[in-house]
Amino acid sequence: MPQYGPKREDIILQPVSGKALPVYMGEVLRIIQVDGGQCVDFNAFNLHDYKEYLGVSNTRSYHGFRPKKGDIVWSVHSRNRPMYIILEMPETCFTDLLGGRCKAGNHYPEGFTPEGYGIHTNCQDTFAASIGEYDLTADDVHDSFNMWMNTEWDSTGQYWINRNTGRKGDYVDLLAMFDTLAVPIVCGSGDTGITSNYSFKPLQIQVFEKSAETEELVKSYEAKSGRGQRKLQHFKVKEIRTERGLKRNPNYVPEFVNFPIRTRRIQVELNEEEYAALQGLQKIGLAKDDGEALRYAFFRWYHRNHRPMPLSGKIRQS
Amino acid sequence: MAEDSPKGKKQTVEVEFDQQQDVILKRLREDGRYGTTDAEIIRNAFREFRRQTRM
Repeated sequence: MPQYGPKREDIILQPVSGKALPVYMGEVLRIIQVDGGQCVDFNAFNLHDYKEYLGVSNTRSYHGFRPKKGDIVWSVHSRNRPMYIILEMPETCFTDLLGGRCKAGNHYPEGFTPEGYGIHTNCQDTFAASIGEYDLTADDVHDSFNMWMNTEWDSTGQYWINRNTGRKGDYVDLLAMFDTLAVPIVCGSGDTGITSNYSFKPLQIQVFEKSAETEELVKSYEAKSGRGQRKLQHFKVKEIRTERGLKRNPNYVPEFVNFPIRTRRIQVELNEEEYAALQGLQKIGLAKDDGEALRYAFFRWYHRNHRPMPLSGKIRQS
Repeated sequence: MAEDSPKGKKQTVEVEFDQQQDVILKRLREDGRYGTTDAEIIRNAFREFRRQTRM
């Protein structure tokens, strides 16, 4: 574990609350289970450009459904930048990139409606209340990187939540790769759901200043994983809209990547036995004609043997 | 890499590659291990595919 700088922030988040707090490049955010068994929802933004925020589906595309110690938490696809490095994460911390975040409507069937018993605590509203300090709106809340949220799923596409396995004193350390606004919150649905084992517990949040070692780590991850990132200057449209209604720009000309797609034909000679095998691929429904079958076989071979993976993630080639 | 093809009647198959798929072929040509022409590389890849999938 690298040596961190001095602790500069130490707060308790009481149920059900959250806090938006800057975590600068090279600093470490620590999220601690005060009593154990509390689900943590997490949002984050680039402190200098809020349109770059934590990318749940982008992170999932690199690391699968459960990021763990050593993995990278990425910003959104449009920027594709390493945002945090998970320096510490106990095995009792199941992470979740499926659930998004809970909202008041989840609890309407239980009677928690504005007209009934009042709304239930929920992560959407807790995030919105937290980021309001930076003039961000409820619409700026994004899908949550959930920690100590024990989801499971199956091949039919269903998912469900199991008992929270977090222990008292467990903590997660996130190293900031650039200046961020981090927003950890106490999940609001765990008192009537198993997400937090049917009771709310507080969380402790600490921030450690950067050190020579954490700065060095940032540089090494940037060199290793930062090549695919996009910056604002790469965007054709850079300005953020201020009007809510959408109107067509008649002067806009889109620039699609490699458009139009062109093809060329390559003639390949096969012997009788090979040609029969090629037709076999068509018989089992993998291609409509000889050319498609040969291209299929070529790329299956290529993917299995040569395609470089973007990272040492958990995404398996089929 | 796969052995030379067994004797038998030859069949010519035409396969389409787009400009991005072409980059893959170009890099394999530069690699040199799988042949020096596009047709040779695709044929050798097909033979390897068959060997690996036992088809």
